[in-house]
Amino acid sequence: MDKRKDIDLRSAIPETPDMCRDAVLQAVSTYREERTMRRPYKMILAAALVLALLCGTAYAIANYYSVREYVALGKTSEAFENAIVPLEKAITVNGVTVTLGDAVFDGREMGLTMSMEAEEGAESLYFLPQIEAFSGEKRLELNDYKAEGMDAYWGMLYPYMTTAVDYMLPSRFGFSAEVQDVPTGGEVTWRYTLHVLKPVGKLVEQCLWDDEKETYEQWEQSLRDLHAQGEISVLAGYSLTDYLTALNVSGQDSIKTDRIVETGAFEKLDTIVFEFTTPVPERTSIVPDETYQLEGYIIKVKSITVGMMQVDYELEACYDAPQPNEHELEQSWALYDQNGTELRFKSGGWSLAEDKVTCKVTGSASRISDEPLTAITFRLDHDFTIDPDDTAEDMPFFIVQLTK
Amino acid sequence: MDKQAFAERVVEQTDRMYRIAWTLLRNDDDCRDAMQEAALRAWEKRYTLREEAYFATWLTRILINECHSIQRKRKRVVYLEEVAEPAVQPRDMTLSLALQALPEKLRLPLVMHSLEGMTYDEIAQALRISKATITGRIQRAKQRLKKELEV
Repeated sequence: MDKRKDIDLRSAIPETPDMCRDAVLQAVSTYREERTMRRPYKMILAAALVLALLCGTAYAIANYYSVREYVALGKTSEAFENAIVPLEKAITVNGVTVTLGDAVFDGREMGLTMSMEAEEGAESLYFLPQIEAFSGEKRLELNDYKAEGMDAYWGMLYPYMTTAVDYMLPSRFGFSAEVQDVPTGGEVTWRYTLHVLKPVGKLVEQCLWDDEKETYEQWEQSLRDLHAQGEISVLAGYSLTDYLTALNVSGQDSIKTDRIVETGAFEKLDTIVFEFTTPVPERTSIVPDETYQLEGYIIKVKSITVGMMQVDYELEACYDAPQPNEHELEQSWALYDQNGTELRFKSGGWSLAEDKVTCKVTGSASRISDEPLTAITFRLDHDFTIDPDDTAEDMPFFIVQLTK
Repeated sequence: MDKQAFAERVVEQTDRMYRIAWTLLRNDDDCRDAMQEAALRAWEKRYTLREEAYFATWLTRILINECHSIQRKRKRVVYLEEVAEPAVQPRDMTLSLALQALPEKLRLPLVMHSLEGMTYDEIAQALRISKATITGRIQRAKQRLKKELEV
């Protein structure tokens, strides 16, 4: 038996052939500069700079991160631009400056951007984010709460443990929250809280679980043993998720913060609170009274809601025969607008009812455009890595007209 | 970043682009097309890159999209017995076949991490999946590769 001590993947892949090198060189030789101006963004930057000079704030313009990148990926619309709320607030704690960029809300989903910067020599702090929403005095229920670049539920260490990493981790973060039952018209007040904790113990680089050497329980116990020695295990330079899970820290937001402090490994340093208000743009709900026959089932479109940033839908699939379980059903849909442009997938899921023939399908896709949405093509999405024989064009589809 | 600097950064990434494209497509003709399209599209979308430090990750994401587009368009099915002949053979065919036997979902993050040195965060950004998923997939990929090679 041929035993390999080291696996060098470089020997498993051929050297780059000349025709591929030439193809890249040919591509870059065609680069041309166009005279395009992204005026609204530059105006905001200029305004922010003037504001900074007038107010004497010290936040770094170079580190400004906007929802135009985070939410719209650089392609905004007039409605989107009008809905942006610049925040431009900064606060510094123990040498770490947290700067809010801007926020946008489309009546269902809120996007918020933030960046962080640390002075040289600043000690690592643990940041735990929390988002709340209010309509007047009424607290609104949040469906979902995501973060990009930072774990929304477990936060992160910043500045990162540089001994554990040899690359630049993100310093810009985006947060999203989905809110239910927002009253039409009016505005929503958002409270963004960053709980700031200071490690009391020594930060050490975490050993990954090696399932050939130990059970998962044994590995978790090793993290608790480290804790008992006054050490805090950190994964990838920023994550305390495994460590805190091993210590059975649970709960949400401020409750979790208290429990983290109770472990003795951290002490509360500060609580940063930013509050801001966003208007509530209109969203248009359509209930098409149509069904679509596909192979093995009928699709009823229960509702389609079109907002400034995304399209939400609810379908009901009614199968010809009872289905054994929902895991084998394929009800993941890709959406396309009337021009055939795919709407970026945001979420999707389905659940089989107890009758085993009815399946509720919900999902959302991103769309930011000045052009009204007049029709949506739903095309069944397929995992091409499993059956690469299929192409998108082979997949079942139906078209919903949004305007008569 | 001006045009010249941008072009140089793209060219610097040629070898990495080939390795990742080959991991997905396993055919030099398709790799060439994917790399060329990615280089062109990167220039078109250059305004979406806000921090130069993420250039490699950003370009990788564009390349992966192009590779998936080619997979869809050309109906490529590569079975183990029909591995396409590259212009230059890998040095270790046994390892190469074992790597190709992994499902793409495991193969790609493994190559990105173990060969290209990308971090879990960079891979998560490039593949748009969570870091927890990345960790699990890389672990499973290593386990399956080892079993395949009887390490």
